[in-house]
Amino acid sequence: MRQIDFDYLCELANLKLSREERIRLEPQIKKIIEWVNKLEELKIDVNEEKAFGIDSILPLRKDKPEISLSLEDVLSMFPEKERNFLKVPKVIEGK
Amino acid sequence: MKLYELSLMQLINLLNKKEVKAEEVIRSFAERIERIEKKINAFITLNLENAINSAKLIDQKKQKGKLAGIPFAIKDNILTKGIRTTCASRILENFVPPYNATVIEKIISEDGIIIGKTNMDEFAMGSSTENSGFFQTKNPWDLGRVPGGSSGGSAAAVASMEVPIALGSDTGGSIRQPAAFCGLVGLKPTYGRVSRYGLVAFASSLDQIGPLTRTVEDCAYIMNLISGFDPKDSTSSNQPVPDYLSEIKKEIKGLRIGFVGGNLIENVDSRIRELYNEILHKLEKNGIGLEEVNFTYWEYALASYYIIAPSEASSNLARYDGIKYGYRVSSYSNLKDLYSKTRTSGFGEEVKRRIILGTFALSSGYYEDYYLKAIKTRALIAKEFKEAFNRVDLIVSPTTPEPAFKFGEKLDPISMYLSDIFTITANLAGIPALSVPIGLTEENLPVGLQIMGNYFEESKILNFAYLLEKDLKFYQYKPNLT
Repeated sequence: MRQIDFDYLCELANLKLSREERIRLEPQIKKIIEWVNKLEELKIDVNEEKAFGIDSILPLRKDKPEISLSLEDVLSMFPEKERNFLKVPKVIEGK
Repeated sequence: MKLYELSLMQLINLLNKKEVKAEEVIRSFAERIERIEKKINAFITLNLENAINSAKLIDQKKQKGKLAGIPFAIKDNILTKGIRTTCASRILENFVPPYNATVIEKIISEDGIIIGKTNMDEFAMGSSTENSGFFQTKNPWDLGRVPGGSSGGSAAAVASMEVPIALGSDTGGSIRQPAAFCGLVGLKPTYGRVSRYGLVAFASSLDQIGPLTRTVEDCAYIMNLISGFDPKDSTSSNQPVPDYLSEIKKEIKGLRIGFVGGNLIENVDSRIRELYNEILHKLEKNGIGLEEVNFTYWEYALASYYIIAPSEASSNLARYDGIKYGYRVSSYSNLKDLYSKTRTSGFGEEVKRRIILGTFALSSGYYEDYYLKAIKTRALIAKEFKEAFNRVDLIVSPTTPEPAFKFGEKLDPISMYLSDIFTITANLAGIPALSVPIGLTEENLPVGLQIMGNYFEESKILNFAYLLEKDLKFYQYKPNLT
Protein backbone atom coordinates (compact mmCIF):
# COMPACT_ATOMS: atom_id res chain seq x y z
CA MET A 1 0.00 0.00 0.00
CA ARG A 2 1.20 3.50 -0.82
CA GLN A 3 2.03 6.01 1.92
CA ILE A 4 -0.82 8.10 3.24
CA ASP A 5 -0.02 11.78 3.68
CA PHE A 6 -2.28 12.49 6.64
CA ASP A 7 -1.52 16.22 6.79
CA TYR A 8 -2.35 16.62 3.13
CA LEU A 9 -5.70 14.83 3.59
CA CYS A 10 -6.60 17.12 6.52
CA GLU A 11 -5.62 20.11 4.40
CA LEU A 12 -7.87 18.93 1.55
CA ALA A 13 -10.72 18.29 3.99
CA ASN A 14 -10.31 21.71 5.65
CA LEU A 15 -9.74 20.19 9.07
CA LYS A 16 -7.12 21.27 11.61
CA LEU A 17 -6.92 18.47 14.15
CA SER A 18 -5.59 18.98 17.64
CA ARG A 19 -2.54 16.96 18.64
CA GLU A 20 -4.66 14.56 20.72
CA GLU A 21 -7.17 14.06 17.92
CA ARG A 22 -4.42 13.42 15.44
CA ILE A 23 -2.80 10.81 17.71
CA ARG A 24 -6.15 8.97 17.89
CA LEU A 25 -7.40 9.42 14.32
CA GLU A 26 -4.30 8.81 12.23
CA PRO A 27 -3.71 5.16 13.27
CA GLN A 28 -7.47 4.48 13.18
CA ILE A 29 -7.77 5.76 9.63
CA LYS A 30 -4.73 3.77 8.52
CA LYS A 31 -6.28 0.67 10.09
CA ILE A 32 -9.61 1.28 8.32
CA ILE A 33 -7.81 1.74 4.99
CA GLU A 34 -5.99 -1.56 5.54
CA TRP A 35 -9.36 -3.14 6.35
CA VAL A 36 -11.03 -1.88 3.16
CA ASN A 37 -7.99 -3.02 1.16
CA LYS A 38 -9.80 -6.38 1.20
CA LEU A 39 -11.22 -5.25 -2.13
CA GLU A 40 -7.77 -5.79 -3.66
CA GLU A 41 -8.59 -9.53 -3.63
CA LEU A 42 -11.33 -8.93 -6.18
CA LYS A 43 -10.48 -8.89 -9.84
CA ILE A 44 -13.46 -7.31 -11.55
CA ASP A 45 -14.34 -6.01 -14.91
CA VAL A 46 -17.68 -4.26 -14.76
CA ASN A 47 -18.64 -1.12 -16.63
CA GLU A 48 -18.99 1.76 -14.23
CA GLU A 49 -22.25 2.92 -15.78
CA LYS A 50 -23.83 -0.38 -14.85
CA ALA A 51 -22.82 0.10 -11.25
CA PHE A 52 -26.12 1.38 -10.02
CA GLY A 53 -28.67 -1.27 -9.16
CA ILE A 54 -31.92 0.38 -10.19
CA ASP A 55 -32.81 0.30 -13.88
CA SER A 56 -35.81 2.63 -13.76
CA ILE A 57 -35.59 5.76 -15.88
CA LEU A 58 -35.51 8.89 -13.81
CA PRO A 59 -38.21 11.29 -14.95
CA LEU A 60 -37.16 14.68 -16.26
CA ARG A 61 -38.94 17.98 -15.72
CA LYS A 62 -39.28 20.98 -18.01
CA ASP A 63 -36.44 23.48 -17.71
CA LYS A 64 -38.73 26.14 -16.33
CA PRO A 65 -38.01 28.35 -13.32
CA GLU A 66 -40.29 27.76 -10.36
CA ILE A 67 -40.99 29.73 -7.21
CA SER A 68 -38.18 29.15 -4.77
CA LEU A 69 -37.43 30.34 -1.24
CA SER A 70 -38.10 33.98 -0.46
CA LEU A 71 -35.19 36.34 0.13
CA GLU A 72 -36.21 36.56 3.78
CA ASP A 73 -36.04 32.75 4.14
CA VAL A 74 -32.63 32.57 2.55
CA LEU A 75 -31.33 35.42 4.74
CA SER A 76 -32.60 33.62 7.84
CA MET A 77 -30.04 30.84 7.26
CA PHE A 78 -26.96 33.07 7.05
CA PRO A 79 -24.58 32.98 10.00
CA GLU A 80 -23.71 36.65 9.45
CA LYS A 81 -25.49 39.22 7.31
CA GLU A 82 -25.65 42.92 6.58
CA ARG A 83 -28.82 44.33 5.05
CA ASN A 84 -29.67 41.86 2.27
CA PHE A 85 -26.14 40.52 1.96
CA LEU A 86 -24.36 37.43 3.18
CA LYS A 87 -21.34 38.64 5.11
CA VAL A 88 -18.13 36.78 4.39
CA PRO A 89 -14.50 37.40 5.34
CA LYS A 90 -12.25 39.32 3.01
CA VAL A 91 -11.24 37.03 0.15
CA ILE A 92 -8.59 39.16 -1.55
CA GLU A 93 -5.32 38.94 0.32
CA GLY A 94 -2.55 41.57 0.37
CA LYS A 95 -2.43 45.35 0.72
CA MET B 1 -55.44 1.07 28.36
CA LYS B 2 -53.90 4.53 28.08
CA LEU B 3 -53.99 6.32 24.72
CA TYR B 4 -50.20 6.38 24.51
CA GLU B 5 -50.13 2.57 24.65
CA LEU B 6 -52.10 2.24 21.43
CA SER B 7 -50.68 1.58 18.01
CA LEU B 8 -51.04 4.02 15.14
CA MET B 9 -53.96 2.08 13.59
CA GLN B 10 -55.76 1.76 16.93
CA LEU B 11 -55.46 5.52 17.44
CA ILE B 12 -56.68 6.23 13.91
CA ASN B 13 -59.74 4.01 14.47
CA LEU B 14 -60.63 5.84 17.69
CA LEU B 15 -60.07 9.25 16.09
CA ASN B 16 -62.13 8.31 13.01
CA LYS B 17 -65.01 7.10 15.18
CA LYS B 18 -64.71 10.40 17.08
CA GLU B 19 -64.29 8.50 20.35
CA VAL B 20 -61.29 10.66 21.17
CA LYS B 21 -60.14 14.10 20.14
CA ALA B 22 -56.79 14.92 18.60
CA GLU B 23 -56.03 17.10 21.61
CA GLU B 24 -56.60 14.20 24.03
CA VAL B 25 -54.25 12.01 21.98
CA ILE B 26 -51.51 14.63 21.87
CA ARG B 27 -51.89 15.40 25.58
CA SER B 28 -51.61 11.71 26.46
CA PHE B 29 -48.30 11.41 24.58
CA ALA B 30 -47.08 14.78 25.89
CA GLU B 31 -47.67 13.59 29.46
CA ARG B 32 -45.91 10.33 28.72
CA ILE B 33 -42.94 12.28 27.34
CA GLU B 34 -42.85 14.56 30.37
CA ARG B 35 -42.83 11.52 32.65
CA ILE B 36 -40.20 9.31 31.01
CA GLU B 37 -38.13 11.41 28.61
CA LYS B 38 -35.46 12.13 31.23
CA LYS B 39 -34.81 8.39 31.45
CA ILE B 40 -34.64 7.87 27.67
CA ASN B 41 -33.30 11.11 26.12
CA ALA B 42 -34.85 10.38 22.74
CA PHE B 43 -35.50 14.00 21.74
CA ILE B 44 -33.18 16.84 20.84
CA THR B 45 -36.06 19.30 20.39
CA LEU B 46 -39.61 19.01 21.68
CA ASN B 47 -42.50 20.83 20.07
CA LEU B 48 -45.20 20.04 22.65
CA GLU B 49 -46.94 23.38 22.93
CA ASN B 50 -47.23 23.83 19.18
CA ALA B 51 -48.37 20.21 18.89
CA ILE B 52 -51.22 20.77 21.33
CA ASN B 53 -52.23 23.96 19.50
CA SER B 54 -52.19 22.13 16.16
CA ALA B 55 -54.37 19.39 17.67
CA LYS B 56 -56.92 21.98 18.83
CA LEU B 57 -57.10 23.41 15.31
CA ILE B 58 -57.43 19.95 13.78
CA ASP B 59 -60.30 19.12 16.17
CA GLN B 60 -62.17 22.12 14.76
CA LYS B 61 -61.72 21.06 11.14
CA LYS B 62 -64.67 19.51 9.33
CA GLN B 63 -62.61 17.63 6.75
CA LYS B 64 -59.76 15.85 8.47
CA GLY B 65 -56.69 14.20 6.94
CA LYS B 66 -55.69 10.56 7.23
CA LEU B 67 -53.26 11.27 10.06
CA ALA B 68 -55.42 13.76 11.96
CA GLY B 69 -54.20 13.94 15.54
CA ILE B 70 -51.31 11.48 15.19
CA PRO B 71 -48.06 12.60 16.86
CA PHE B 72 -44.83 11.97 14.95
CA ALA B 73 -41.23 11.96 16.10
CA ILE B 74 -38.87 12.95 13.31
CA LYS B 75 -35.19 12.16 13.07
CA ASP B 76 -33.25 15.38 13.35
CA ASN B 77 -31.80 15.19 9.85
CA ILE B 78 -35.21 15.72 8.21
CA LEU B 79 -36.00 19.41 7.70
CA THR B 80 -38.94 20.84 9.62
CA LYS B 81 -39.90 24.43 8.86
CA GLY B 82 -39.52 26.60 11.95
CA ILE B 83 -38.33 23.68 14.12
CA ARG B 84 -34.60 23.44 14.77
CA THR B 85 -32.91 20.69 12.73
CA THR B 86 -29.44 19.87 14.02
CA CYS B 87 -28.36 16.46 12.64
CA ALA B 88 -27.12 16.07 16.25
CA SER B 89 -24.15 18.21 15.25
CA ARG B 90 -22.69 21.32 16.85
CA ILE B 91 -22.23 22.72 13.36
CA LEU B 92 -26.02 22.90 12.90
CA GLU B 93 -26.90 23.43 16.56
CA ASN B 94 -28.97 26.55 15.91
CA PHE B 95 -30.12 25.84 12.37
CA VAL B 96 -33.85 26.47 11.83
CA PRO B 97 -34.86 25.44 8.30
CA PRO B 98 -37.10 27.78 6.30
CA TYR B 99 -38.86 24.89 4.55
CA ASN B 100 -40.17 21.36 5.14
CA ALA B 101 -38.88 18.11 3.70
CA THR B 102 -41.41 16.55 1.31
CA VAL B 103 -42.21 13.76 3.82
CA ILE B 104 -43.03 16.42 6.42
CA GLU B 105 -45.27 18.26 3.94
CA LYS B 106 -47.06 14.97 3.28
CA ILE B 107 -47.58 14.26 6.99
CA ILE B 108 -48.79 17.79 7.74
CA SER B 109 -51.12 17.83 4.72
CA GLU B 110 -52.82 14.76 6.28
CA ASP B 111 -53.05 16.60 9.63
CA GLY B 112 -50.24 14.62 11.29
CA ILE B 113 -48.51 16.51 14.12
CA ILE B 114 -44.75 16.87 14.67
CA ILE B 115 -44.18 16.42 18.38
CA GLY B 116 -40.37 16.55 18.35
CA LYS B 117 -37.05 15.93 16.67
CA THR B 118 -35.07 12.89 17.71
CA ASN B 119 -31.48 12.23 18.62
CA MET B 120 -29.16 10.40 16.23
CA ASP B 121 -25.53 9.73 15.51
CA GLU B 122 -24.09 12.99 14.18
CA PHE B 123 -25.01 13.28 10.48
CA ALA B 124 -26.34 9.69 10.74
CA MET B 125 -22.81 8.28 11.04
CA GLY B 126 -22.94 5.48 13.55
CA SER B 127 -24.79 2.46 14.86
CA SER B 128 -25.48 3.35 18.49
CA THR B 129 -26.44 7.06 18.73
CA GLU B 130 -23.34 7.43 20.92
CA ASN B 131 -21.91 9.71 18.20
CA SER B 132 -24.55 12.37 18.85
CA GLY B 133 -22.91 15.75 19.39
CA PHE B 134 -25.26 16.37 22.32
CA PHE B 135 -26.08 13.35 24.51
CA GLN B 136 -26.71 9.61 24.55
CA THR B 137 -30.13 8.01 24.06
CA LYS B 138 -30.98 4.96 26.18
CA ASN B 139 -32.53 1.73 25.00
CA PRO B 140 -35.97 1.49 26.69
CA TRP B 141 -35.48 -2.30 27.13
CA ASP B 142 -32.29 -1.81 29.12
CA LEU B 143 -31.16 1.68 30.07
CA GLY B 144 -27.53 0.53 30.21
CA ARG B 145 -27.58 -0.29 26.52
CA VAL B 146 -27.64 1.65 23.25
CA PRO B 147 -30.86 1.96 21.22
CA GLY B 148 -28.89 1.34 18.02
CA GLY B 149 -28.32 3.94 15.40
CA SER B 150 -28.19 6.11 13.70
CA SER B 151 -31.98 6.58 14.12
CA GLY B 152 -31.65 5.67 17.81
CA GLY B 153 -33.78 8.54 19.13
CA SER B 154 -36.63 7.69 16.76
CA ALA B 155 -36.52 4.01 17.78
CA ALA B 156 -36.32 4.77 21.51
CA ALA B 157 -39.22 7.24 21.27
CA VAL B 158 -41.53 4.65 19.66
CA ALA B 159 -40.41 1.76 21.88
CA SER B 160 -40.99 3.80 25.05
CA MET B 161 -44.42 4.87 23.76
CA GLU B 162 -43.57 8.55 23.62
CA VAL B 163 -44.98 8.44 20.07
CA PRO B 164 -46.79 5.76 18.06
CA ILE B 165 -44.61 6.37 14.99
CA ALA B 166 -41.35 7.97 13.97
CA LEU B 167 -39.42 8.61 10.79
CA GLY B 168 -35.78 7.73 10.43
CA SER B 169 -33.23 7.51 7.65
CA ASP B 170 -31.26 4.46 6.60
CA THR B 171 -27.89 4.65 4.83
CA GLY B 172 -26.42 1.34 5.97
CA GLY B 173 -29.02 -0.01 8.42
CA SER B 174 -29.87 3.09 10.43
CA ILE B 175 -33.61 2.30 10.57
CA ARG B 176 -33.47 -1.51 10.68
CA GLN B 177 -30.74 -1.93 13.30
CA PRO B 178 -32.33 0.39 15.91
CA ALA B 179 -35.72 -1.19 15.09
CA ALA B 180 -34.19 -4.60 15.89
CA PHE B 181 -32.52 -3.31 19.08
CA CYS B 182 -35.77 -1.72 20.31
CA GLY B 183 -38.30 -4.39 19.24
CA LEU B 184 -39.91 -2.42 16.40
CA VAL B 185 -40.84 -2.72 12.77
CA GLY B 186 -38.47 -0.61 10.67
CA LEU B 187 -38.51 -0.32 6.90
CA LYS B 188 -35.87 0.96 4.51
CA PRO B 189 -37.83 1.39 1.28
CA THR B 190 -36.43 0.90 -2.22
CA TYR B 191 -34.05 3.69 -3.24
CA GLY B 192 -36.36 6.24 -4.86
CA ARG B 193 -39.61 5.04 -3.25
CA VAL B 194 -39.81 7.90 -0.73
CA SER B 195 -38.72 11.46 -1.57
CA ARG B 196 -35.53 12.61 0.11
CA TYR B 197 -36.08 16.29 -0.58
CA GLY B 198 -35.21 17.96 2.71
CA LEU B 199 -33.25 15.03 4.12
CA VAL B 200 -29.80 16.31 5.06
CA ALA B 201 -27.51 14.37 2.74
CA PHE B 202 -24.98 11.91 4.16
CA ALA B 203 -24.32 9.42 1.34
CA SER B 204 -26.71 10.33 -1.44
CA SER B 205 -26.61 7.06 -3.37
CA LEU B 206 -27.52 5.10 -0.21
CA ASP B 207 -29.78 7.31 1.97
CA GLN B 208 -33.52 6.53 2.26
CA ILE B 209 -36.23 7.81 4.60
CA GLY B 210 -38.49 5.22 6.24
CA PRO B 211 -40.80 4.59 9.21
CA LEU B 212 -40.33 2.98 12.64
CA THR B 213 -43.55 1.59 14.10
CA ARG B 214 -44.77 -0.99 16.59
CA THR B 215 -46.75 -3.02 14.04
CA VAL B 216 -46.52 -4.01 10.38
CA GLU B 217 -49.95 -2.57 9.72
CA ASP B 218 -48.79 0.84 10.99
CA CYS B 219 -45.80 0.64 8.68
CA ALA B 220 -48.01 -0.18 5.66
CA TYR B 221 -50.39 2.67 6.50
CA ILE B 222 -47.68 5.33 6.63
CA MET B 223 -45.95 3.98 3.52
CA ASN B 224 -49.19 4.65 1.62
CA LEU B 225 -48.90 8.30 2.63
CA ILE B 226 -45.20 9.07 2.24
CA SER B 227 -44.28 7.11 -0.90
CA GLY B 228 -44.27 8.34 -4.47
CA PHE B 229 -42.64 10.57 -7.02
CA ASP B 230 -41.54 14.03 -6.01
CA PRO B 231 -40.46 16.51 -8.70
CA LYS B 232 -38.17 18.08 -6.08
CA ASP B 233 -36.13 14.86 -5.73
CA SER B 234 -34.59 13.80 -9.04
CA THR B 235 -33.81 10.36 -7.60
CA SER B 236 -37.41 9.64 -6.62
CA SER B 237 -39.19 7.10 -8.77
CA ASN B 238 -42.48 7.43 -10.65
CA GLN B 239 -43.33 3.75 -10.18
CA PRO B 240 -46.98 3.56 -9.05
CA VAL B 241 -47.54 3.23 -5.30
CA PRO B 242 -49.72 0.23 -4.38
CA ASP B 243 -52.16 0.28 -1.46
CA TYR B 244 -49.81 -1.39 1.02
CA LEU B 245 -52.49 -1.68 3.67
CA SER B 246 -54.73 -3.89 1.54
CA GLU B 247 -51.73 -5.71 0.03
CA ILE B 248 -50.52 -6.97 3.42
CA LYS B 249 -53.81 -8.72 4.10
CA LYS B 250 -53.82 -10.71 0.86
CA GLU B 251 -53.36 -14.43 1.16
CA ILE B 252 -49.84 -15.59 0.30
CA LYS B 253 -49.54 -18.57 -2.02
CA GLY B 254 -46.49 -20.35 -3.37
CA LEU B 255 -44.06 -18.08 -1.55
CA ARG B 256 -40.37 -18.96 -1.86
CA ILE B 257 -38.05 -17.64 0.81
CA GLY B 258 -34.29 -17.49 0.49
CA PHE B 259 -32.30 -17.46 3.69
CA VAL B 260 -28.78 -16.31 4.42
CA GLY B 261 -26.70 -19.15 5.87
CA GLY B 262 -23.09 -20.25 6.10
CA ASN B 263 -20.28 -18.33 7.78
CA LEU B 264 -22.32 -15.20 8.17
CA ILE B 265 -24.79 -17.00 10.47
CA GLU B 266 -22.18 -19.01 12.35
CA ASN B 267 -20.72 -15.79 13.69
CA VAL B 268 -23.92 -14.31 15.14
CA ASP B 269 -24.99 -14.36 18.78
CA SER B 270 -26.23 -17.85 19.74
CA ARG B 271 -29.70 -16.75 20.89
CA ILE B 272 -30.25 -14.76 17.67
CA ARG B 273 -29.19 -17.83 15.69
CA GLU B 274 -31.63 -19.96 17.69
CA LEU B 275 -34.58 -17.62 17.08
CA TYR B 276 -33.63 -17.31 13.40
CA ASN B 277 -33.53 -21.10 13.00
CA GLU B 278 -36.88 -21.44 14.81
CA ILE B 279 -38.46 -19.12 12.26
CA LEU B 280 -36.97 -21.07 9.38
CA HIS B 281 -38.29 -24.35 10.87
CA LYS B 282 -41.72 -22.89 11.32
CA LEU B 283 -41.80 -21.72 7.71
CA GLU B 284 -40.77 -25.12 6.46
CA LYS B 285 -43.43 -26.81 8.60
CA ASN B 286 -46.03 -24.50 7.09
CA GLY B 287 -45.09 -25.58 3.57
CA ILE B 288 -43.24 -22.41 2.58
CA GLY B 289 -40.43 -23.17 0.12
CA LEU B 290 -37.01 -22.43 1.60
CA GLU B 291 -33.70 -22.11 -0.18
CA GLU B 292 -30.31 -21.13 1.19
CA VAL B 293 -28.88 -18.28 -0.84
CA ASN B 294 -25.16 -17.75 -1.02
CA PHE B 295 -23.62 -14.45 -1.94
CA THR B 296 -20.07 -14.51 -3.23
CA TYR B 297 -19.63 -10.79 -2.76
CA TRP B 298 -21.36 -10.26 0.61
CA GLU B 299 -17.98 -10.47 2.36
CA TYR B 300 -16.82 -7.45 0.35
CA ALA B 301 -19.90 -5.39 1.16
CA LEU B 302 -18.53 -3.73 4.30
CA ALA B 303 -15.31 -2.70 2.56
CA SER B 304 -17.25 -1.36 -0.40
CA TYR B 305 -19.68 0.50 1.87
CA TYR B 306 -16.94 2.05 4.02
CA ILE B 307 -15.39 3.52 0.88
CA ILE B 308 -18.58 4.70 -0.84
CA ALA B 309 -20.35 6.18 2.20
CA PRO B 310 -17.38 8.23 3.50
CA SER B 311 -16.55 9.38 -0.05
CA GLU B 312 -20.04 10.73 -0.60
CA ALA B 313 -20.07 12.16 2.93
CA SER B 314 -16.79 14.01 2.44
CA SER B 315 -18.29 15.64 -0.62
CA ASN B 316 -21.74 16.33 0.88
CA LEU B 317 -20.33 17.76 4.10
CA ALA B 318 -18.05 20.19 2.26
CA ARG B 319 -20.99 22.62 2.41
CA TYR B 320 -20.51 23.10 6.17
CA ASP B 321 -17.82 25.71 5.93
CA GLY B 322 -19.20 28.47 8.15
CA ILE B 323 -20.18 30.63 5.19
CA LYS B 324 -23.73 29.89 4.09
CA TYR B 325 -25.46 28.60 7.20
CA GLY B 326 -25.01 26.98 10.56
CA TYR B 327 -22.19 27.67 12.94
CA ARG B 328 -19.26 30.04 12.27
CA VAL B 329 -16.27 30.54 14.58
CA SER B 330 -15.89 34.08 15.87
CA SER B 331 -12.15 34.53 15.38
CA TYR B 332 -10.18 33.68 12.24
CA SER B 333 -7.37 35.19 10.22
CA ASN B 334 -8.55 34.54 6.66
CA LEU B 335 -11.10 32.59 4.63
CA LYS B 336 -9.25 29.25 4.73
CA ASP B 337 -8.77 29.66 8.48
CA LEU B 338 -12.51 30.31 8.88
CA TYR B 339 -13.34 27.11 6.97
CA SER B 340 -11.02 24.84 8.90
CA LYS B 341 -11.64 26.33 12.35
CA THR B 342 -15.42 26.14 11.87
CA ARG B 343 -15.29 22.57 10.61
CA THR B 344 -12.79 21.36 13.18
CA SER B 345 -14.74 22.70 16.15
CA GLY B 346 -18.19 22.00 14.63
CA PHE B 347 -17.80 18.32 13.68
CA GLY B 348 -17.44 15.40 16.08
CA GLU B 349 -14.79 12.73 15.81
CA GLU B 350 -16.63 10.08 13.77
CA VAL B 351 -17.63 12.70 11.21
CA LYS B 352 -14.03 13.88 10.94
CA ARG B 353 -12.88 10.27 10.60
CA ARG B 354 -15.25 9.65 7.71
CA ILE B 355 -14.51 12.95 5.98
CA ILE B 356 -10.76 12.19 6.03
CA LEU B 357 -11.39 8.63 4.86
CA GLY B 358 -13.62 9.83 2.02
CA THR B 359 -11.13 12.52 1.05
CA PHE B 360 -8.50 9.80 0.83
CA ALA B 361 -10.65 7.48 -1.32
CA LEU B 362 -11.47 10.28 -3.75
CA SER B 363 -8.03 11.86 -3.89
CA SER B 364 -5.89 11.81 -7.00
CA GLY B 365 -4.01 8.56 -7.38
CA TYR B 366 -6.37 6.58 -5.14
CA TYR B 367 -9.73 7.10 -6.81
CA GLU B 368 -9.46 4.10 -9.15
CA ASP B 369 -8.17 1.69 -6.54
CA TYR B 370 -10.72 2.67 -3.93
CA TYR B 371 -13.84 4.53 -5.01
CA LEU B 372 -14.11 3.01 -8.47
CA LYS B 373 -13.37 -0.48 -7.17
CA ALA B 374 -16.01 -0.07 -4.46
CA ILE B 375 -18.58 1.07 -7.03
CA LYS B 376 -17.86 -1.99 -9.16
CA THR B 377 -18.16 -4.29 -6.16
CA ARG B 378 -21.48 -2.69 -5.44
CA ALA B 379 -22.65 -3.52 -8.96
CA LEU B 380 -21.75 -7.17 -8.38
CA ILE B 381 -23.69 -7.22 -5.11
CA ALA B 382 -26.74 -5.75 -6.85
CA LYS B 383 -26.40 -8.30 -9.66
CA GLU B 384 -26.31 -11.18 -7.19
CA PHE B 385 -29.50 -9.92 -5.56
CA LYS B 386 -31.22 -9.65 -8.94
CA GLU B 387 -30.27 -13.19 -9.77
CA ALA B 388 -31.41 -14.46 -6.37
CA PHE B 389 -34.80 -12.77 -6.82
CA ASN B 390 -35.32 -14.78 -9.99
CA ARG B 391 -35.46 -17.87 -7.78
CA VAL B 392 -36.96 -16.60 -4.51
CA ASP B 393 -39.52 -13.94 -3.58
CA LEU B 394 -37.82 -12.70 -0.44
CA ILE B 395 -34.54 -13.19 1.40
CA VAL B 396 -34.30 -13.32 5.18
CA SER B 397 -31.38 -12.92 7.58
CA PRO B 398 -30.93 -11.77 11.15
CA THR B 399 -31.04 -7.94 11.20
CA THR B 400 -28.01 -7.71 13.47
CA PRO B 401 -25.25 -10.09 14.55
CA GLU B 402 -25.95 -9.36 18.22
CA PRO B 403 -28.62 -7.73 20.40
CA ALA B 404 -28.29 -4.17 21.77
CA PHE B 405 -24.82 -3.68 23.23
CA LYS B 406 -23.73 -1.67 26.26
CA PHE B 407 -22.60 1.96 26.14
CA GLY B 408 -18.88 2.25 25.43
CA GLU B 409 -18.61 -1.39 24.41
CA LYS B 410 -17.47 -0.64 20.87
CA LEU B 411 -14.75 1.97 21.07
CA ASP B 412 -12.85 0.70 18.05
CA PRO B 413 -14.52 2.11 14.89
CA ILE B 414 -14.16 -1.14 12.93
CA SER B 415 -15.95 -3.19 15.59
CA MET B 416 -18.83 -0.69 15.35
CA TYR B 417 -18.82 -0.91 11.53
CA LEU B 418 -19.12 -4.71 11.73
CA SER B 419 -22.55 -4.40 13.34
CA ASP B 420 -23.86 -3.34 9.89
CA ILE B 421 -22.90 -6.64 8.25
CA PHE B 422 -26.47 -7.79 7.48
CA THR B 423 -28.03 -4.44 6.64
CA ILE B 424 -25.62 -2.62 4.31
CA THR B 425 -26.08 -4.89 1.29
CA ALA B 426 -29.67 -3.66 0.85
CA ASN B 427 -28.41 -0.06 0.70
CA LEU B 428 -25.66 -0.94 -1.73
CA ALA B 429 -28.12 -2.75 -4.02
CA GLY B 430 -30.91 -0.18 -3.46
CA ILE B 431 -33.47 -2.88 -2.57
CA PRO B 432 -36.13 -2.57 0.17
CA ALA B 433 -35.56 -4.31 3.52
CA LEU B 434 -37.47 -4.45 6.77
CA SER B 435 -36.74 -5.56 10.32
CA VAL B 436 -39.50 -7.26 12.26
CA PRO B 437 -39.13 -8.39 15.89
CA ILE B 438 -39.10 -12.17 16.38
CA GLY B 439 -38.40 -12.61 20.08
CA LEU B 440 -36.34 -11.75 23.11
CA THR B 441 -32.98 -12.94 24.43
CA GLU B 442 -32.57 -14.31 27.99
CA GLU B 443 -31.65 -10.76 29.00
CA ASN B 444 -34.97 -9.51 27.67
CA LEU B 445 -33.48 -7.78 24.63
CA PRO B 446 -35.41 -7.76 21.34
CA VAL B 447 -34.18 -9.62 18.27
CA GLY B 448 -35.06 -8.67 14.69
CA LEU B 449 -35.45 -10.62 11.47
CA GLN B 450 -34.51 -8.81 8.28
CA ILE B 451 -36.71 -9.39 5.22
CA MET B 452 -35.28 -8.17 1.91
CA GLY B 453 -37.25 -7.94 -1.32
CA ASN B 454 -36.77 -7.09 -4.97
CA TYR B 455 -36.95 -3.46 -6.16
CA PHE B 456 -40.30 -1.81 -5.34
CA GLU B 457 -41.65 -5.02 -3.79
CA GLU B 458 -42.31 -3.53 -0.37
CA SER B 459 -45.80 -5.11 -0.55
CA LYS B 460 -44.37 -8.62 -0.56
CA ILE B 461 -42.08 -7.81 2.37
CA LEU B 462 -44.89 -6.26 4.39
CA ASN B 463 -47.24 -9.09 3.52
CA PHE B 464 -44.79 -11.69 4.82
CA ALA B 465 -43.88 -9.59 7.88
CA TYR B 466 -47.60 -9.31 8.68
CA LEU B 467 -47.91 -13.10 8.52
CA LEU B 468 -45.03 -13.47 11.00
CA GLU B 469 -46.43 -10.77 13.25
CA LYS B 470 -49.85 -12.46 13.40
CA ASP B 471 -48.14 -15.60 14.60
CA LEU B 472 -45.58 -14.09 17.00
CA LYS B 473 -47.56 -11.09 18.31
CA PHE B 474 -44.39 -9.39 19.49
CA TYR B 475 -46.21 -6.05 19.86
CA GLN B 476 -47.68 -7.42 23.10
CA TYR B 477 -44.26 -7.18 24.72
CA LYS B 478 -43.35 -3.81 26.09
CA PRO B 479 -40.27 -2.56 27.89
CA ASN B 480 -40.72 -2.09 31.61
CA LEU B 481 -40.21 1.61 32.27
CA THR B 482 -42.06 2.17 35.49
